[in-house]
Amino acid sequence: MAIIEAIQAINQMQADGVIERYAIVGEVGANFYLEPVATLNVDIFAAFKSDPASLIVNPQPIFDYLKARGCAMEGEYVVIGGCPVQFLPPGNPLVEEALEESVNKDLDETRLSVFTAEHLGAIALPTGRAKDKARLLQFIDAGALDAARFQAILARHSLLDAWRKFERQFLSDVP
Amino acid sequence: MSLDLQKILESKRALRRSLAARPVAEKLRMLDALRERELAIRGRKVPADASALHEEPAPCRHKGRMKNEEKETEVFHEIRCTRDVDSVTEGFAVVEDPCLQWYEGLLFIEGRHGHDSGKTVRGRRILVPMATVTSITEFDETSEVYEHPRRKQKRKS
Repeated sequence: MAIIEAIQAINQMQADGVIERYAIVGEVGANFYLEPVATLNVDIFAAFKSDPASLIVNPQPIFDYLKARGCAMEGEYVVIGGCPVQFLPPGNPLVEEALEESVNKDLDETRLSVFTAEHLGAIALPTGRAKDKARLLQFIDAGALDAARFQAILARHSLLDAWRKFERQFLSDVP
Repeated sequence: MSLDLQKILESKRALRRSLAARPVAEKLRMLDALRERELAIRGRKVPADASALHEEPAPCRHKGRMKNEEKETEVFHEIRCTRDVDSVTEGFAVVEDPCLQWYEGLLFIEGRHGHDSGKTVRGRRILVPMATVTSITEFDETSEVYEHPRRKQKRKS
């Protein structure tokens, strides 16, 4: 399986100290809570190890590590085991919190980490893309979100207005 | 088979619930299969052409021509660099429509020059390597950048 192979390589990279904590997001992350939806790549949020003297996040060690193991670069993706993987730094407090509170899952003999359903839902809200809105609707429709926990995340990260707008657009029968 | 829309919707929902409830390993296998099918439909261009693979990226905050929400004016970004990237930017660049882009594993701020000068042409594309960036400041007018007292003083000297 291409995705599992990619995850195993990322676990090894973590064990080798190239990245710190990581979590799978996007459609593959949502797959742990919802029905499978076709996607072309795996999105990973990872805490990059960086030079303490620099404020700039540098993903180069990840690319160097994977290139040395025969992975090819395709634009912003690294192709691991035939599966394009995109590494993203946690760029805001919501994602940092999501990474901190990500949950471990065991998949046969592979352990991996994914964002909670509530964090995946909250992160989909401010991006504004149709596919993210559709995914949030899927989470709601599937009853995958703990309402209290979700609301608390929205309140902590000033997303209540965006949520109300989303509710008006998609969850209200009243125009 | 039923033509009752409610029954159809409920049936779809039930199928989705049963798919969601399957073991994760099985769902990942399904994702692999879905991906293969997607690639077959689109044509196997992925390794050679990253654009074929490209899903719409999440918009970075300043992608597109941003409006200052309070003042309803365009905003420009002064990007300062640790060193002169080239003789044109001289340690800073005023950029319109900045967004983050990866090229060959390196992260860049991509945008357009926001100012005509002896060395720059407004609208020309600029790529600033993210590794060189020390600060990004938002301005309403490019003149604010150039008429900043510190910069004026530097120009005089």
